[in-house]
Formats: sequence, C-alpha cells, structure tokens
Amino acid sequence: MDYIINISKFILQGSKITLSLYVITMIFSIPIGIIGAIGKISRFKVLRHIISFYTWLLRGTPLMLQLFFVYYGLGVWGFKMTSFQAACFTFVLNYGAYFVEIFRGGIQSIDKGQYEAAHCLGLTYKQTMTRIVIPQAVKRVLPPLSNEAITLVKDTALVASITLADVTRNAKQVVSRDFNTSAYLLAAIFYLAFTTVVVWVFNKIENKYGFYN
Amino acid sequence: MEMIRATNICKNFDTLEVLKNIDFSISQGEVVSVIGPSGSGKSTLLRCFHQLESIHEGTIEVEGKVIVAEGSQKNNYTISAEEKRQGVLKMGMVFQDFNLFPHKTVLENIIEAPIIVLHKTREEAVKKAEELLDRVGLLYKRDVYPSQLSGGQKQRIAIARALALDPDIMLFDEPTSSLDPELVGEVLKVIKDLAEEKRTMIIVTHEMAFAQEVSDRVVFMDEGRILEEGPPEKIFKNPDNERMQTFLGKII
Repeated sequence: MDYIINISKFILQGSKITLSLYVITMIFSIPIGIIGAIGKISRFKVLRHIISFYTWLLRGTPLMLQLFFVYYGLGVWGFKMTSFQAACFTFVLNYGAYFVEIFRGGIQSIDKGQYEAAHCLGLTYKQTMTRIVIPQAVKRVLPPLSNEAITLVKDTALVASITLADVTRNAKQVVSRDFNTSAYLLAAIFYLAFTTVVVWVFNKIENKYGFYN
Repeated sequence: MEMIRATNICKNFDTLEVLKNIDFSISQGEVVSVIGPSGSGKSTLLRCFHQLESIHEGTIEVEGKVIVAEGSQKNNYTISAEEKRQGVLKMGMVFQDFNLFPHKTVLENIIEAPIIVLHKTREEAVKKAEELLDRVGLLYKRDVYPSQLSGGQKQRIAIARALALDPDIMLFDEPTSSLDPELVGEVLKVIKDLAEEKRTMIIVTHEMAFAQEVSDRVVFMDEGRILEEGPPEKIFKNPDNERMQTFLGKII
C-alpha cells in the first residue's frame, strides 16, 4: 500500500504538465476555431485559401510528428522553445485546425433565413454573426466539441515523446525502474477520472443550451 | 407619394430569366397584392426590394431615393452601403418561414433590432414590443421561445418584429403558405388590421379571397412579367388577360 501511495504521488506530479497543457490548448484553440471558421466562409479568397491550407496541413499529419518538428526541427532553425512551450504551440495549432472545421460546419448549418431576417432588420454582417449565427452555431457544435475535448485528454500523453514529465511518462519511468506494471493502472485511473470530469462539464453546458430547440 | 418604384427590373438565375423588364410602383397608403402561379417571379420581385436578391438591370427607388441601380443604370448612381441599409430599414419584411431567432424569446426577438439598430433604450423597446404583442394578441407569450409557438403564432410574432422598426412599407412574402389551414385566419386577421390602417403594403399571396378583400390593387404575374393589374373587382371578376382567366379558373 505504501508503494502505491508513493508512486501515486510521483505519477500525479506529472498531472501538472498534463492539466496545464490541456487548459492552455482549450483556451487558445477554441477562439482560433471560431475566428478561422469565420475567415473560411468570408468573401476573401486569399484568406480562405490560407485557412484551408492550415487545416489541410495540421489535420493531415500526425500530431506526434508535428511535436517533433516544432521541438527539434524549429530549434535547428533558431526558434528555440522549451519542451512545454513547443507542446503548447503544437497542440493549440493542431486543435485549432480541427475546431475551425467544426465551427465552420456549425455556422454553415444555420438556415439562410436567419441571415435574411437579420438583414431585413438592419443588422450588419458583424452583428448578424455575433448575435444571431454564432450563438446558435455553438449549440450545434457542442457534441463534436466535446468529442475533441475528450480526445485531447488522451493526446496530451504524446508529450512524453519530447521528454516532458507528464502522467504517462512518469508512469512509464516507475514501471521501468520497479518492473511493476501497477503504475500503468494508476495512470489509466487518472485519465479516466479526467475524461469523466470533461464529459460532465460538457453535459452541463449542453443542458444550459437546452433552453431552446 | 410613391413609396417604391422599380424600373425595368431584370433578373436571371443562370440562364433562366425570372424577372423580365418589370415596372412596378406603390403609393403611400396603398395595399397591393401580387398573385400568380408558382415560379412566376412574384416572391423574387419582393425579395429584390430588400436586396435579398440581386438584379441584373434596372433601378429600385424607395421613397424617391435610388437604392439599387444595375446594368445600364449602374454608372448613373453612386449608392453607399449606408444608403442601401437606410432603404432596407424603411421596409419591414415578413417571410413565408417566419425566420424568428430560435435562441431568443418572443420579446427578445422583437426588441433586438430596435436596440441594436435604432439604438433605442431597452425600456422604450420593451414598451413598444409589449404594445405590438398586445396588438397581435400574444402578450401572454412574451417570455417563451419560438419553438413553443404554433405556426400562426410565430407569424404574428414575425409581423410584430417587423413593425417594431416602424417601417413605412410592409412586405409580406407568402405569409400564410407554411401554415396549417386552420391557422391561416389568425394571421390574415392581423394583416387585414394593418390594411385598414392604410399602411403601405405589398402582399405576395395565394389567398385569392383575401387579396380581393384587402387590396386596393391586384397585380398578376406569370413567367417573370406583370400580365395584368388593376382593382380587385376588375381582376377577379373580369380579367382581360387569357392567362389570368385560366389561372383563376384553376384555383377558384
């Protein structure tokens, strides 16, 4: 039992990295998604192409490869970052790309009658987007958004590959040191608890938006 | 005074000509019904006034100001985006599918534009909204969401929402076409009320008896042209146009 408590403490030290990476990624990638989605449906062709290229590139290559590239590759070119900065940078860009496409789908699913009504009432395009379209789109994207939020919990484990001492890496160290796999079980329990909280939070938000159909 | 004047309007959807050299005008206090078979261009004409559809030729004036000029007229006018918007604000629009904002309550739907666009205070906007709700008989639905309303109720709210901006002209685009038959009456009653106030209105409709009852003038459209127009007694009882005669023969 002492052994379990001891290694639990060590593994949980890694949760600082896991949790802060998670929170930073969510905070920055969702606004990127909303702004990118608006850009992608705008009438500026060049902007649309730039955003399409961004989502094509970031969704079309492995996240782990992107991590290696940002941490080791960019370093060679003089963009030196700590491994945690590199992880945040990569995760925000990668998840931002997915969120762009999710929000674009949500915004485009809003009936064109909503735009027409807003136009006839004299609302500007910006007012139409911020007051009429995006609030409705947010409700529609909550299910795919919560999927991504759950995937992100587990994707954070990839940072172990660029030497960050997160929950997964600490667990692996314990197993290699002690030849005892119970550390893996503890890590699994941590991730399960984490995703449970995420699911609970998203259910709360969905209920909050359940006030209209 | 002429409230809207459309001169030589042409519109195509790709190769299909939906409006062919239309001339149309409406004076203050006039109630005009536009009738005709599906695909005749009557909704498109109405939507052009609100710039929901672009035109390829012609001009549209609202209260003497040109707000749309295209084709051969394009270079004769410079029209700013703000002038276009001011033109739009003179006209209230009621859609076939209501287009209420589902995430806002009935009251919020009505006060949105007065507050955001006309910069009224919330108190003023709410007061006016409550008067309008009372007028369409739905004050008791003030705080519910549109999904909890019947079609007829939704359309009455949509009318109140358009009226909240005090438009000089009301445009109705088939306001009862999406409604169950038993709900049509309550919406027509509200529109008739407005007609009796001598508001300037254009009503695109399939309700012939209603058009006959409320209109000062009826316009018959087919295949993108206005084929006949005149007082309802003349149009419905004694039309000159052969196409109009067959159209009426089919529906009455």
